[in-house]
Amino acid sequence: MTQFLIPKLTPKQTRAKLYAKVFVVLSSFILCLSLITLTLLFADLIIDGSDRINWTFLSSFPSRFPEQAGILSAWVGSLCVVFLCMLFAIPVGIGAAIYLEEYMKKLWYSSWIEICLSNLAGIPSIIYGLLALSLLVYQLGMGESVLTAGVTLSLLVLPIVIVSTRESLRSVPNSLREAAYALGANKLQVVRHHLLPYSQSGIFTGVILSLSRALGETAPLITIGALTFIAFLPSAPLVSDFPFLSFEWLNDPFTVLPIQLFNWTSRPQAEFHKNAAAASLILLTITILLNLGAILLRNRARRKYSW
Amino acid sequence: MLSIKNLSVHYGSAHALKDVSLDVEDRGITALMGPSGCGKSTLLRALNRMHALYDNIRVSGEALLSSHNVDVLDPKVPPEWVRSTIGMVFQKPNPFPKSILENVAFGLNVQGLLSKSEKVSRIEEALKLAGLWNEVKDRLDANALGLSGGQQQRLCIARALASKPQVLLMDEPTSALDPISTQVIEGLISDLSKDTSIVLVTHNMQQAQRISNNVAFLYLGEILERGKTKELFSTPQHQITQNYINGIMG
Repeated sequence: MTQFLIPKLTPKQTRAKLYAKVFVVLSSFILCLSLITLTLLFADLIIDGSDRINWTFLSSFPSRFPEQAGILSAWVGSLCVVFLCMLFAIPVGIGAAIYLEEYMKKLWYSSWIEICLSNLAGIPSIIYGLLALSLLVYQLGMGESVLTAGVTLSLLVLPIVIVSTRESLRSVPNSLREAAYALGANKLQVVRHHLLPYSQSGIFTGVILSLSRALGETAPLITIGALTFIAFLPSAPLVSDFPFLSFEWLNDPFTVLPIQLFNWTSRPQAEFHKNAAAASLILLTITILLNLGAILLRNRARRKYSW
Repeated sequence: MLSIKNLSVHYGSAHALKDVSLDVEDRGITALMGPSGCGKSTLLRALNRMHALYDNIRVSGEALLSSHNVDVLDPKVPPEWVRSTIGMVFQKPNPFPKSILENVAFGLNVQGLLSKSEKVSRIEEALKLAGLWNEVKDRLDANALGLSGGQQQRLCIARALASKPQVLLMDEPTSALDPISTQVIEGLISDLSKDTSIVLVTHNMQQAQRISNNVAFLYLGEILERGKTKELFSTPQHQITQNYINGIMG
């Protein structure tokens, strides 16, 4: 039987092979680290808070007796605020991104807009709160309402939506734009029938990121005067009289889960800390559920349009 | 069919096409040949106003489409009209990541002239002309990206043909394909030229020789020589053309 030779790699290739292995080990270590942190966090919350999670906790208003206190006004408030935030931020963000990417001529100030946008994404959220306080609450007289909170958070997440939408518009190959133009389409038709559908998955990524951001945000809402003790819900959007829709809830005061949570953790009684852990669990669950929905939509878009 | 007069194109300060004049005859294939960077694609893309999509490109001159008595380069003529009347097939197959049906229907939907049933028969007709009907008739709803490269290019041809263009511009349509697909598409181009005027940019001299009726040889943004394919290949007037044909210069 013939003995075949195993050829040797050059010293550089041998080193490169070693580096490649070290890199994999390091990356998996870091991945484990973040997963373990998340698991520990979850486990801690479950240990502290799980026995407080029941229907009464979800359906009661806050109270000064820890065992009677619930998070009804907080989670309803959170959902209302996030709903409004998305309602404003998604269309405005997508529209701005389309304009910047497809319509705007490259002029001397284009790169300035670029820099400002990236900076906006990094501005501390309290600054948005101060802006909202002076502009929305005082100048425009919108009060400490659900609407003010929704608008404030939408300003906060707008750069995220814009940047991710632009990124995904940019990743659509130019050959597809030219193909559509060459068939006699105008710019709006190219955007509507091609660019928007093809960049759906990137847009959903932006929505996912901004959803999580908006749900967890506390500082700007405290600044605009969100209350920590709300023993009523915003008015119902559906009413029995014509026209059956009411927008009164937009003007109602509100609280959100992170604020409720913060309030409970800052109290001395250990019983309230249990409530805080339970509320954190609910907040995490809502975040995960909303993200899951967006991720499913994104995956569907990815399957449909990929190249 | 198209008579081009004094066509100039500037990219910023670079003068890419200098006062080109050329007649594209009715039906038949006019091939544009020349070394890379000579302006063949620039000339082709001027004819359906693709340059209007970009800010720093200036086009001057005229190109009279005799069937409609319209100067397609006139800024007052809507580019959408020009692009529906003068179709284009690109170098790399670029089907939309949508169904085969949606790909062919897009040009028709943009115009919105046909009823649903007329559209269906027009799509079938276009796919038959492109020689793709038998391969895709059972899976019109399948994603176009599932087709092979050659099939994708024929789909792009069908897509351009659906709105019945008078002129079809083809920018090296076979350069990204294997020899067998190339052969199929060359045959297809010859067949199409019985009803449509085709302007074909090609690197490939054998291809120009095999299928074109007329050839224009471009060099450094100018037409150095043009004429009937047979004559130009057998007795080129310029030394540069001769060198190119003989493969001394590429």
